[in-house]
Amino acid sequence: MTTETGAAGAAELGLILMSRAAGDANTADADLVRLIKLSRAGDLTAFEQIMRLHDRRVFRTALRLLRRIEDAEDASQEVFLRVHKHLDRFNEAGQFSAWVYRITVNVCRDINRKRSKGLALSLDAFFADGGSSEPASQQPDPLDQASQTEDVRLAAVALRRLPEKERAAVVLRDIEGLSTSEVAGILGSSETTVRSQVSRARLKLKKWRDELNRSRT
Amino acid sequence: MNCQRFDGWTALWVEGDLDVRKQALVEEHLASCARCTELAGQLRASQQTLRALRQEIVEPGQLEAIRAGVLRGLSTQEPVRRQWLGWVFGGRRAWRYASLATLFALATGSAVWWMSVAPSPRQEIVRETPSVVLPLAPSDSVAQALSGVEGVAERAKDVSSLARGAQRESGGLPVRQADVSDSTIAAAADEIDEEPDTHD
Repeated sequence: MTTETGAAGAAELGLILMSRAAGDANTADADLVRLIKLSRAGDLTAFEQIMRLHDRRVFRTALRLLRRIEDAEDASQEVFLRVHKHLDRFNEAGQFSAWVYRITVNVCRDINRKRSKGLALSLDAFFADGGSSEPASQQPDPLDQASQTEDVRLAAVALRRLPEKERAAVVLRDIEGLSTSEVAGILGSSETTVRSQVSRARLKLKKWRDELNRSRT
Repeated sequence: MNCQRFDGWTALWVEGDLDVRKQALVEEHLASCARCTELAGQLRASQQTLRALRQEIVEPGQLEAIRAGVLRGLSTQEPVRRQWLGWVFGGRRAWRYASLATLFALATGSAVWWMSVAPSPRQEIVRETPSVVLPLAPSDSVAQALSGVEGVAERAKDVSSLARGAQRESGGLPVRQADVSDSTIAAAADEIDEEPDTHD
């Protein structure tokens, strides 16, 4: 893998960055396509730009699906390594971000399968500890600590209780703000299945949120 | 209709995830049901909190560390093999076996085909034996060749008549063809050459 950037590639990359700085949203897709082409040619600078465009979403999604920050970091790196490895397979007619989300969900699924059982947060233990502790096997989630409101922190904790498929559906639909059809495409499910999962997850989250609030008062 | 049967639809309705028909049914029910209206309000609040997770601040240092790790991994890994080589040697195990089986089948098939098509050593010997090729001459050429033969025969007749004349001149002694002088033959040949060629 070459790390050198050709003069033409560097000039093109400079134009792309300038157009992004200028906030030209209409050229965003074309810029992404150009970045992908440069990355395919071995330009790591272009690939770094692609990562910058997607790393926040990838990390956030991985953190919500995996619940541990170390796992989320590992997963994010694995996601981008896979993205780079399979850039040739990406169909430019498709949506790049949806493709990245799909890889993220698959990587998190693989990590969850490998991970030993028993890491799921016990809500009983959470209630017994006054709703302020993390399980012994998990480090505190800095994102939760940084949350401005207690409600948001409770929502993050409740989210961890959801079964894997429901959690994935609600993270993509409600937190990442994707449409039901996009979520269905990413998860490889039908829209009906996604609606069902999202509906159950919302009701559970609402119920747990109420319980957590009651336990704190 | 039982209120609890609306719960699932209400959870979808708060985010506009229902089709028009179900949306109308839910709204009609909510208009007359305090319990479900309260549930819808709580769901809205829960969803608002959930959406706030999207705005969480991710430390830039974490993202930089992720990008640096990826770039480090990419710069140290071996060059990407070509796609078809990757399938054969670097793909999943099933793909690898399938690719190798396909290559083996192709190699075997090619060998069998080559053996059936390539000539045997005996055939090579036969093929190398020189053979007389008689080209099929056009009819004009055949006629020309035959006329040439006739011309030679006529010239032979002329030579023998010249020999008989010489025998007469020599007083009846037998004259062999070798006894005819070269000048006599040359003179005869000149006579023949002066005759117009009727075969052209």
